[in-house]
Amino acid sequence: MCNNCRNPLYCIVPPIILDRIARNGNEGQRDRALRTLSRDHSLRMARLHMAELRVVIRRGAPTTGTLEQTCGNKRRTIYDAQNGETLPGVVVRPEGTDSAGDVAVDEAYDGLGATYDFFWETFERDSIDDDGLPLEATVHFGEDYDNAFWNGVQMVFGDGDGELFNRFTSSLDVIGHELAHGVTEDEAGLIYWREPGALNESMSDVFGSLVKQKKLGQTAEEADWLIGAELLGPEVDGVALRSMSAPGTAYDDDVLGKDPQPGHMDDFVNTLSDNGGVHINSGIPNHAFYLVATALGSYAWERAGRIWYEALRDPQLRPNARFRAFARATVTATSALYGPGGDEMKAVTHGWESVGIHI
Amino acid sequence: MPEQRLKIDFKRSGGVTGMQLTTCVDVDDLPEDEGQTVRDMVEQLDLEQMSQQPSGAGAPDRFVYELRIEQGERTVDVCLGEAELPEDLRPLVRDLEKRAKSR
Repeated sequence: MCNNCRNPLYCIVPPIILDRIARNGNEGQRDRALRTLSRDHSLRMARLHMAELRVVIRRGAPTTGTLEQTCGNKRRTIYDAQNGETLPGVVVRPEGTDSAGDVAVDEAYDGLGATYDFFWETFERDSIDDDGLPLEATVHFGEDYDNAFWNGVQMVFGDGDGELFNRFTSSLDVIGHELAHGVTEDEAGLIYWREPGALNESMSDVFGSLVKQKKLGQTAEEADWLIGAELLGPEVDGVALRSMSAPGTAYDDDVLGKDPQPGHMDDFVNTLSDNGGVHINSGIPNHAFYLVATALGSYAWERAGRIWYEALRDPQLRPNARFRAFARATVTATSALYGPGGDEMKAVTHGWESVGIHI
Repeated sequence: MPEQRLKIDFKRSGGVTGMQLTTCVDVDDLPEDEGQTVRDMVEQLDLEQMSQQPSGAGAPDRFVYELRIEQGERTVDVCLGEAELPEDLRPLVRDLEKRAKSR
């Protein structure tokens, strides 16, 4: 048996569903709720259906312990592209092995571990797909490569050019950002264009920042709310890639220009570059999250993070969702989690109103 | 016979940094050997084919490249995601990235 697994059921059934199950109280009602959900044929619902089957299988074979053994266990593999662009590259650090002295390899290994632990300990989510997907990352990709990305299968990190950008494993929130792209793809599947794309980007910044905050044990007041603070090279005039607390203030540099992020819908940027400004207009939902988290205080992942996570998992949220649709999903999640008239609902509605999103 | 005019506007957007790199190169303003290198890189390209290549669906945190190449009397616009960048365009893109980064 796996001692880390607190409740195997939590690995495979979303908390909102579990709330319903708990409220209904008996096994027959629980089964009906699960059957109702499985009528939807979306990917998410297909997975829920599989979850139901797994529960049934587990009930029928209680001594196998299979689910318990797979929940909450990291399965990381770090590869080295050796400055080429062939993926995944050479295996350099599988799960459970010691450091071989390569900083980028170790940062990727530890960063994936911290991100996995964040999703598991905070939301009982078992990896990117909530089904224990092994985590794979390649470091030393390309030559002087100024980027990191999620390609639908794995994470990829460049070394940076050493002038504008340091190695892309150096910021834990950027590692969390990349892994969160996988979570978003698995859940809402937000398309990577204009508003849904900016929402997709914002999800990655929100959960990336929360990974860092939890690792550092910071409250919302103590957090810096910066993305990629460690990435900027010595020649850049700036503090980070983005600021969630003050979008548009992260850098002002001769080569890179000024941080273009808006923090309010009045300043929404219409552009065809950057897939319709996905890294630009993400400043608006980023700032809404910051406002909600700081209004609620304490640890941001506990209430604000939970609300955002459940909204991302809302089956009503479509891949082409715009900011307002997501804001409404956060209201639905807040009501389900904390009730319709509490501090949480006030913080959420005020946060969105403050950035010009009228629910 | 004088060389054709060659001017390139370059923009790289996207990437996890979201920071744009831009540069504009007029080959007539470059030292002769540098200018010839850029001309050679452009000569190898099938600009018409490239301009008609559809930009693929956006992929998280990949770069997006936009080039406007003015060569003689013709102007060609190219917009491609990093994953769709043809092999023969890469040397020119790498050269333009370096120029865009220089202070």
